[in-house]
Amino acid sequence: MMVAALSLVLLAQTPGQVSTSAEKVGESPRTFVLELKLGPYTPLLNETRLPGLGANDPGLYTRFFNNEPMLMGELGLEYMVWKKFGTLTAGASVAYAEKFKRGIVEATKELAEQSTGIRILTIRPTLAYRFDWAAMKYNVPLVPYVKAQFVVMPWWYIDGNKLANYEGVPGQGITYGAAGTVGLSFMLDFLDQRLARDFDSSIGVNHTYLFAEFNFQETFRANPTSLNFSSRHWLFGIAFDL
Amino acid sequence: MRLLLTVLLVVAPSAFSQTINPTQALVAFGVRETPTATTDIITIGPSRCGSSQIVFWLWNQVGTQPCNNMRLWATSGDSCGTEPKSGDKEYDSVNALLISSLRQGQITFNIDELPAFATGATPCGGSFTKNVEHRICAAVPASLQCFGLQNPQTQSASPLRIIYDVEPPPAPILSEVRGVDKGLRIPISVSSDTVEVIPFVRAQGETDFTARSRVTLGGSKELLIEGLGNDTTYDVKAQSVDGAGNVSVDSGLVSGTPRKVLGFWAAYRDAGGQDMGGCQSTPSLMVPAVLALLAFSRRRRS
Repeated sequence: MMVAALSLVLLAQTPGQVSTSAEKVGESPRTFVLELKLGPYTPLLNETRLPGLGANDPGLYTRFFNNEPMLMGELGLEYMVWKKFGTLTAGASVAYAEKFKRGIVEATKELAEQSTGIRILTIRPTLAYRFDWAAMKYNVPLVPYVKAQFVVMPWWYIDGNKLANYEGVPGQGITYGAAGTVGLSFMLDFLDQRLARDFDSSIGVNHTYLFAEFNFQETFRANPTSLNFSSRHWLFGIAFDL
Repeated sequence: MRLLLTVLLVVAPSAFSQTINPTQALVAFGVRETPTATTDIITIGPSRCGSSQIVFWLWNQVGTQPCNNMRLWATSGDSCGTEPKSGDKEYDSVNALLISSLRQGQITFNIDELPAFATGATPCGGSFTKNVEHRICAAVPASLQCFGLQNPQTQSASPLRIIYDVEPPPAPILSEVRGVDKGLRIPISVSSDTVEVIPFVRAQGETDFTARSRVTLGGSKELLIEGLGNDTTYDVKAQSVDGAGNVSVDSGLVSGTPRKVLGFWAAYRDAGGQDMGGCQSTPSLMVPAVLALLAFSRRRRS
């Protein structure tokens, strides 16, 4: 899927296209941003208010998963809709995270020989603004950016190797939310301009960035006992202007 | 260069997904269970006595042509040679023209009529305890030029070995039982020829075991028995079944107790969580969010 998307992106960049003012002389047109990122993700499930838990209970996520973060991987593709003073993009990203630990024997409260886990898919339609004007015009290698996202999160709880089911209620659902992201990219072209130009002329990658971003995600909840998949998490990755 | 890379990106995934399939490496001239079989062995057991078996002759020679009919036969000897020997069972020959045009064909034979069974000393299904091996053989005179100066040489096919296996596999070895929710997990060790395991279960205090469905282990080294009652102790034993259908003696007895296990979802629901599962949403917040997205997309279009 990723390869197909990348192929379409490359096919879209025919050499005959005219460069806009946001592109340097001799560089191929910039049309898409492709991002690959990884980072720790700890949903705020402990903040789910459950009447059956005592006041001092650390919360279910801590009880089962020691409040350890999941490893989230994310792939994003954005189309550049405006490229004058910075770049405005619209696109979507898909992220996946999971966590598995051992369940608890109800009678003894000991760890069971059966796993319990959670799988989360996060789909985020995205609007982003990158302040890359200084990078394009004056070769300043830092590009700050912000993103606004709508969040769709299908999730599944797994017991053993099956979908969890408690008294006929399956442990799966979809949660919606919104997210904001603030990030800073470091343009790798700064380190070797010639290699960057070769990368563009050979496969159409205009610029390559390493970035770090902070995600502030709030999920909508029907009531206080609804599962809280909100998070404040960092992601790190590599991005390509295509 | 860019076009080349693009083509590579599009083509590479499908190219890499076509892993080298061993079935593509066809035998040049041979007899096999199926036209794409990768092994030259069929293992059968006493349960196959009285039935028939279909196998295939395959001609994938390049350049060499069959110059006369192909002879097909079954032997209980250690090798086929180039023609049937005394006591071998010969089947209908195949016309030379059909060999080069069809390049494969079926042979159907009765298991009971294989030479070692037909002699009466070791009848199929008899009480002997030794494995019996047959070969389905084929041979054809062939040459690069059938009507030239060169004399055709008889070529022998790679034979199909039919092993009549009467030896039961060793009993499986069951290790320490682990109780899970309404089930038991049991590490199991089986012989290499075991293809299935039959578990037997009884609640402690009962006298009779109940046979469960046969389990194909595949790469797994664990037997999972489900549908048991929590907090009841069960005795478990098992038998191995080999490819010929021979069943081992019983394994040793092991015991275990399923326990109710709370996973995250059960604990959440138990503690008063009200998410119901399924495709839920929060309409009060969803509607404005979707409307905002629609409004944004319309403004961009206008």
